[in-house]
Amino acid sequence: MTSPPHQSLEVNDLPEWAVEELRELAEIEPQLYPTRNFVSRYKYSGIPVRRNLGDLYASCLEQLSDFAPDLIILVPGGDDLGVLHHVQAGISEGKRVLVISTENAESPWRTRIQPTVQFLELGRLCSQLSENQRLSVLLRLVLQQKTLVIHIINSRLGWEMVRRYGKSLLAVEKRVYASVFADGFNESGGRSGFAIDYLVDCWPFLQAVICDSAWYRKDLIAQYGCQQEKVFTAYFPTTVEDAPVFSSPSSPRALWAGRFAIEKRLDLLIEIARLSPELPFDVYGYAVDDYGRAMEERMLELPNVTVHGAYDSLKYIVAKNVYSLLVYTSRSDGLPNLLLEATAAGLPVVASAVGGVPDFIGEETGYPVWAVNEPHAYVKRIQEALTDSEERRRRWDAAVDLLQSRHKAEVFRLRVKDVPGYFTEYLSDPEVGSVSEPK
Amino acid sequence: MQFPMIEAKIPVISAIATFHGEGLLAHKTMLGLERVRREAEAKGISVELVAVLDCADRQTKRVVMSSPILRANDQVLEVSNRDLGASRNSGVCVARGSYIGVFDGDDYYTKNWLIQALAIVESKQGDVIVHPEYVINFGTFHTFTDLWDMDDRRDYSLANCLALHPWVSCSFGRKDLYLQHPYQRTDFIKTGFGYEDWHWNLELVSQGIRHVTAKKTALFYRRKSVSMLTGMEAAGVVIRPSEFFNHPVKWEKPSEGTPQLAEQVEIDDKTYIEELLKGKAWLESQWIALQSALIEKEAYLTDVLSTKDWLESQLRDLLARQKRLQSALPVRILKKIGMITDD
Repeated sequence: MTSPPHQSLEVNDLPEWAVEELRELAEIEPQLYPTRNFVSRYKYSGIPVRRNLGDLYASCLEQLSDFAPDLIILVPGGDDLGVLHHVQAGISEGKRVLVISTENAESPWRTRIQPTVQFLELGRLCSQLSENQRLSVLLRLVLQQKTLVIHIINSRLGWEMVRRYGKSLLAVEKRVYASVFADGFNESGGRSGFAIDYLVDCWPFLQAVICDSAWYRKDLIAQYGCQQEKVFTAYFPTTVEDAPVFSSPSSPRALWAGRFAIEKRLDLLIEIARLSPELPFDVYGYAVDDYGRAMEERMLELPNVTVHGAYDSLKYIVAKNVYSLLVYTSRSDGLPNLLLEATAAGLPVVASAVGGVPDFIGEETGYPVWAVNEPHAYVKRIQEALTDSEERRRRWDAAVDLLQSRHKAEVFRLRVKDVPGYFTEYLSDPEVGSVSEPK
Repeated sequence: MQFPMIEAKIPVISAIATFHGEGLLAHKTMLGLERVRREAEAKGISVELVAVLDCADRQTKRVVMSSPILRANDQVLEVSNRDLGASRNSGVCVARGSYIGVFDGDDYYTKNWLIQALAIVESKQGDVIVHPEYVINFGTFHTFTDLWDMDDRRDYSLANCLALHPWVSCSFGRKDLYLQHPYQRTDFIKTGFGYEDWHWNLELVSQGIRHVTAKKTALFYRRKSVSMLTGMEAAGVVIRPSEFFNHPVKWEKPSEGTPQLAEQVEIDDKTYIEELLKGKAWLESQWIALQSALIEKEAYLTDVLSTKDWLESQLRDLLARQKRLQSALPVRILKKIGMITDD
């Protein structure tokens, strides 16, 4: 085989020696012959520089120092009481706990966790990175740690990690657990939530799912056909340590507390207040969006509603001893801590019977409203509560009994301990890792 | 064990090329490898080809086994690893050369590659793995890029290696480095882990081995619209956990000729046992490789027997290593890793 005469090459980034090699290799593969057109296609790209991910990963590891966690809890950041309960349960079991917040948000409760717990604000450290890049850093951290137990509580990045890299996590024997509490609603009125977004895809890689109500456990099983043995209810404990004291004077006055957000149904509260002009309502909370601000303005127009703004502790509000009951109007929820707090603070509760609320507020323990969208139904139950103080007391007593028997840290810890492999030795589950290969 | 006395013909370099489903492309690859081999031989450097057929399809197997470039002393190894890294390890286990060159079954290389790579290994202080200076992509896209020479570009940080791989699978180095640091399986369909070369290169860095390049050499990398690499990229594959990522504090200021990480890594009991188990697994794999080599077909056996001296020296090394391991270990650990039993 003879080569054609050497062609002069004007447009050429390739080194001359490489072009000569191509010319010789064309004896084997003619397409490699370095014609002007062929060579002109070549563009040089140097070694890329993308050290920021590595540097941030190094910063994270430096913060962890020699800490070798037994349990990693992934949280979004922000105010999430459930995380504290799981951290406490881990500590009580003698585990070293690492909490990683994955969003760029303040975590005000971090000051409430024990100094023995490591807290890594990955979301804040990596705020300049894209989601994929943050995921790379998080995944590498999790893979490199010898920790086997990973628990996701409301961390979208954590869920993404499991969805995309669940196989790899399983391959290095990580045991992944997730807490889910309730479906919510998006702005268009459709249902939304982590379970909706991730449960189907992530199910093969999850050891177990933990809910804070029996209702949501049942709901998940009904919605997704999850095997019952993999879905657990662990009721969150109340954080109130003092013995509850009934604090519901006969002079009628209702309390409402919460964020001014669409799912909290302030529109319902406004209608209830309109229908009960003789009943004063004190509203604590703050607007988190335009809806909340609009509702706040409407409430200010009502003569029997007083808006107080944000609050630190329900206990101190109730301690004024002026409220007869708490009115709760949310559209969806797991088992809201507000109801536990209100009961512990001494208040009977009238609540929309949504989500996990009836797990705690039933006909024996409070005044559930079953027609959750009907203002009249709330008014009726409020009147029922206000007109019979003995019955109100009896139901509150029953709620306290339930609170003290079921919503205790010790009970919660034991329930979490029942979750296979979370604190104890793992027994393999045939459904974990059973993912079909793509055809 | 007695072997017939046959004059040994031990190559300097073993060129390990892995094949799976390259089909007719394998023929061209073999021709490309022969071109590299002849250039080396012209400089007095003998090269054996170790073609590893990993569950190869019929056509690829036929093309490789009937290749006109195969010589009597070359080796064709059929394995069922279904894993690129494991197949390279298989090739390393039977390689007779003192140096290893790792090649892929569908790429080309500049003809000076082995000559230059060998010169670099012999000129450098400390342990090094050599890569080509350039990767020149052809096929579905046409770009070229240089690879990172850790001795030349001290300003480039190892911190980059979390997000990207600044080297390639094409590598060259002393055989003992490949034996001491075998590739780890990826099983990427099952585990989601991939990029065995990225992982291997980083593991070596963590052991104080530097990656350098041989100037004026290149890998001509065939880019396909569908390949194992594109499959991994589409699947968002990641590399396995690596010792490299456990000590980022040591990523800066690599020093020429000085092990950067290995000496500083604390070895606790668990790591020590893991290392011993690796050593045991290596001994076993060597033994299996030797045994399988001995029961190959007659022509192949003749070829293997011609390396009598080498085989014996390997066996002596193995026995000596085993003795060293045994004498260095408490009985408790020996029992634990199965090197001795209660009997």
